[in-house]
Amino acid sequence: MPKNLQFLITLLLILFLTHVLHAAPLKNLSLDFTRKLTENEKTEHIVGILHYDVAKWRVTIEVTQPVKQIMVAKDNILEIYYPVEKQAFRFISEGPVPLPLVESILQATQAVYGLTALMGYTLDRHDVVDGVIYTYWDPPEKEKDKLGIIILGKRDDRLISAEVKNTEGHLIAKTRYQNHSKIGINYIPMKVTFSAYGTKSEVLRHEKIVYSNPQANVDPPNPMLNFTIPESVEVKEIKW
Amino acid sequence: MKIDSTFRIFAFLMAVLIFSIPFVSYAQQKPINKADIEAGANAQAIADAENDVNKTGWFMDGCFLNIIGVVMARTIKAPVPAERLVGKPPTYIFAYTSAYYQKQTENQTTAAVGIGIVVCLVIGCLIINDIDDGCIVGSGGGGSLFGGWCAF
Repeated sequence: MPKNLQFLITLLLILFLTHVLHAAPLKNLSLDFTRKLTENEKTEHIVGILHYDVAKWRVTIEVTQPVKQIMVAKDNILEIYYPVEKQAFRFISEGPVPLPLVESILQATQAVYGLTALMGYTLDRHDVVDGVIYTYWDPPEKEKDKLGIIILGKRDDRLISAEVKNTEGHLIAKTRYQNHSKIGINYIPMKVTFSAYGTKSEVLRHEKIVYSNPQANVDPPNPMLNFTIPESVEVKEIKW
Repeated sequence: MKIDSTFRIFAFLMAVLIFSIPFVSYAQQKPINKADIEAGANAQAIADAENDVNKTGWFMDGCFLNIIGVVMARTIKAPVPAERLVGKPPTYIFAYTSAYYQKQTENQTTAAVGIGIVVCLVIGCLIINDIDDGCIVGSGGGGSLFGGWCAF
């Protein structure tokens, strides 16, 4: 009996630790991605790896196709390096650079998807249709002449859709989030489909990003998270 | 079996035709050179800048801040969304960002100068006109945009 009890306690402890580790907050994340972008009757495919350092708010994108490119975005600096051509750009802007390709991840890790804290939106009302909770968000008062409402769709604690309307109430963009994977304590969508619409509801831009092979909280962190352009490469600096 | 010369010529022509097809098709492909990439980047940047620049905001700045609004339109630049540069070659990056900022500044300045200041000048002229008519000091009058004020 004591032997069984020891075994049971050990098993429970392992299960508890596994759960705790699995549910640890996100520190860093690496994901393979493929991006298909259709715009102006042209379609392009981009393949690469995305590295995101949550604490440093830093994103590194390693593009492998169609060109070899490494992009680093942090604070107000965007660096782009071409390892084959040995060329590099550094863009320094006055405000923070929006982090590329991680919006869906950022949204998933923020309370109410960052709408309140980051963008100043306030909840107006909600509906439930076929098991999906739709919440309607009003823009901040001072931006109401420029921004319309945002409608979020959520099922089983997972964000599945986001719609953005203009001030006249016309749909201007819609994003669908699918194939969620629980990473840390968050559900991160592994497939994100985005469409931007024109005034006649025509699709101006269609984008599909599929993420795979998620690696979260890797210790030691992937060296690409701290990538810097080699000193031997001349960097073209552009301020804006 | 005897192979006559007509057949030999025919076979030779067929062989030439078959081997030439890939070269013809290759020649028909539009070569992607630096000029093409730059032209594509320019066109895309202009279209994106048109969509991105908030003309209403710059109009308001031009109207209420006048010369400050114009200076702001000349100096403040919103960064290009980095996503648009992912997977693009260096030639594209340079051409796109240059064209984008040029167009962005142009749009902001046009909106601020062309609309904002003109509207302010018109309003200013109307106010001066009303002062000349004695409306602002309350001597009555009407027929202007500020006729309502004149009533007081």
